Amino acid sequence: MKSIVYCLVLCLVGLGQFAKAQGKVTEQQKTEFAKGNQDPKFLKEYIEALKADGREDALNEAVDRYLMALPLNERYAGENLTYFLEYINGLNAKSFTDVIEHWGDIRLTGEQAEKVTEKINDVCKTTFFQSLFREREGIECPDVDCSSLAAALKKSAIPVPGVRRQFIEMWQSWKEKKVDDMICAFEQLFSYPIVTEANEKKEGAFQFDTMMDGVILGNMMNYILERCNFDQCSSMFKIIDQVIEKNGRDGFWSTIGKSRDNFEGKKMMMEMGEE
Amino acid sequence: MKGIKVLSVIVFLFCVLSGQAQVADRLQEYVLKEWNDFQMPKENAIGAILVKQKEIGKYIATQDRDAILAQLENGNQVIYRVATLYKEDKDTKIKKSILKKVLNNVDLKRREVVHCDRMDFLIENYYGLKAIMEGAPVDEAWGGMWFNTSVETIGNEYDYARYRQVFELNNPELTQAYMSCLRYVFRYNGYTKGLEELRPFFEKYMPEGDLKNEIEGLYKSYYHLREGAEAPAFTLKDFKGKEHSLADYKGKVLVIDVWATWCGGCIAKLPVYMSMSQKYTDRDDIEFITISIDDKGSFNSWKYALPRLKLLGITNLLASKEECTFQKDYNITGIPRYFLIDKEGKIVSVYAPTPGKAFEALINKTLNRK
Repeated sequence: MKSIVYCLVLCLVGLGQFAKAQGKVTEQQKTEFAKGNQDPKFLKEYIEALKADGREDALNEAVDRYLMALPLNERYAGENLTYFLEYINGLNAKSFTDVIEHWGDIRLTGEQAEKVTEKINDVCKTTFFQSLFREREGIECPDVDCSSLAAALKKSAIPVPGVRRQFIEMWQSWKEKKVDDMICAFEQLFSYPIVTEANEKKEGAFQFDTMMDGVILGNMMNYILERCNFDQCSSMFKIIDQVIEKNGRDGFWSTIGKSRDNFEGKKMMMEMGEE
Repeated sequence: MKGIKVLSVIVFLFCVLSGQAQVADRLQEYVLKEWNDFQMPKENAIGAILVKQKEIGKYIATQDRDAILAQLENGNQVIYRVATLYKEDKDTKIKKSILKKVLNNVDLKRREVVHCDRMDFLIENYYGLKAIMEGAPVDEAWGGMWFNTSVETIGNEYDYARYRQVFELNNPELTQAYMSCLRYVFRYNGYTKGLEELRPFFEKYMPEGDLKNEIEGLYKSYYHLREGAEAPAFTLKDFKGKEHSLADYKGKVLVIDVWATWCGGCIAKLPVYMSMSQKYTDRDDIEFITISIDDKGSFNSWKYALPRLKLLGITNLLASKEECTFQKDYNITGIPRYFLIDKEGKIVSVYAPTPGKAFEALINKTLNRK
């Protein structure tokens, strides 16, 4: 009797370990992935194993490779679109630029299209914001390169808001230390209607995230302030002055107003020969 | 049976005592109402006040001969109205004998005095009138202690005389209730000569407890900022990165405006400070500078505020708390603050009055000191 119970316990333990092993990423999967295996079947199993393990950090790369291994007509269809929306979280993912480049060829419902553009908006914002916090000390120019993204957006009809497009342009110009281009993008950015309060509603206006976008914009404006020559400084002062005239100095606009004052001060200092 | 008797006595005493308390409260309310309804005549106001006082006093006596609080309240209201006469017209003339009579109506040694309406006003008016009676100018008799850095006056000898006399009353309840203001004297005026002279009285008469401990702590933490003490050394940078030390100004009187770009009150006062500095341009033994306490991250905001606020004619330094101990060394808990440091690097005041006549007088006195 004792030996039967003993065997039963052993069987149960073995079964448990087997069941547990089913959800785990195996060493073989890890090796295959590292070697660059592009087989969609393998990648899908690998993704499921990562999900079972709660390895959210590794999903962006795996999902990106899986999506790019699929033919275009399957890439953003059904469950694969869910993969994209849920797990693609970096600007450097190939599928991120790919969806923009092939926007005209992908069949999506209105609701799906809205989710994809929202995703692009959020990922850009979050990536820029996190990048600034990573580089907070002694930041000069950002490390995130979005040249491919900016190029893809220029050619694509994807309905990413104009403000976000200008943000990306301005960011990339910052990366390339092109102050004139930054000023140009900055001016364009404010040519679109913007709302800064969550409860504020205006037809077709861009909902500005005063926390994340505000920090990103503040850093970019500060870079221009520190690097601009007299003409660039005068342009910035003029642009911001008009923005303030239009929007006032309440709430978020008070921060923009402070920046206006800084450009004015710098202009005065340059005129006095103090800088 | 015995238990019932004891209980009856307790109930009886409770009824009598609570009844007495109710009568006292009601009488004080009566006094307040009577005085609230009192219309001060334009002619012979003091006469009318004294008549009203007598009337109310008589009524109280008919109700309860021992109604101390109501009688004190009556005296308090008289003092308030007589003080108002002086505040509304500085040329008011009242005989010393009448003032003495008015003051005699309130015995500040009574413990009940803390329950008088606006007890702090009572103390200030009582000693203001007392100072006038003893010959003080009406302008100064009430002192000039304002707990606000944007006003020009920072107290005078009459304030400290009032504090000293309150201590000398040796009324622990009153001392405890009134002397909490010393916290603000430290905060807004720093360690003044007046506070130093008050210290023995504070130590002798202040009741033991949290307030005493707190004020003792203030005496200790502000001691290094007292008049005549060596000003804490600092080395700070201007917007070009050049270092400036306190020692660089030795041999000159140094005037400092401590401000920040986020402080609207400070910015409003900067033009007054700058125009005050202009009055001394022909002297080479005085220097006016500004020190901003903006954060390190606000360097650009500070730097580019300088031309806009027309500050470039003088030295402007930044004392971010991330980079130096200036704010801690000088107990900067609120701004604007104004410092005056003499030619030997000793503190004249690190809680100087806001730019204006009083500050100028202090500067001139320091400049002319041998």
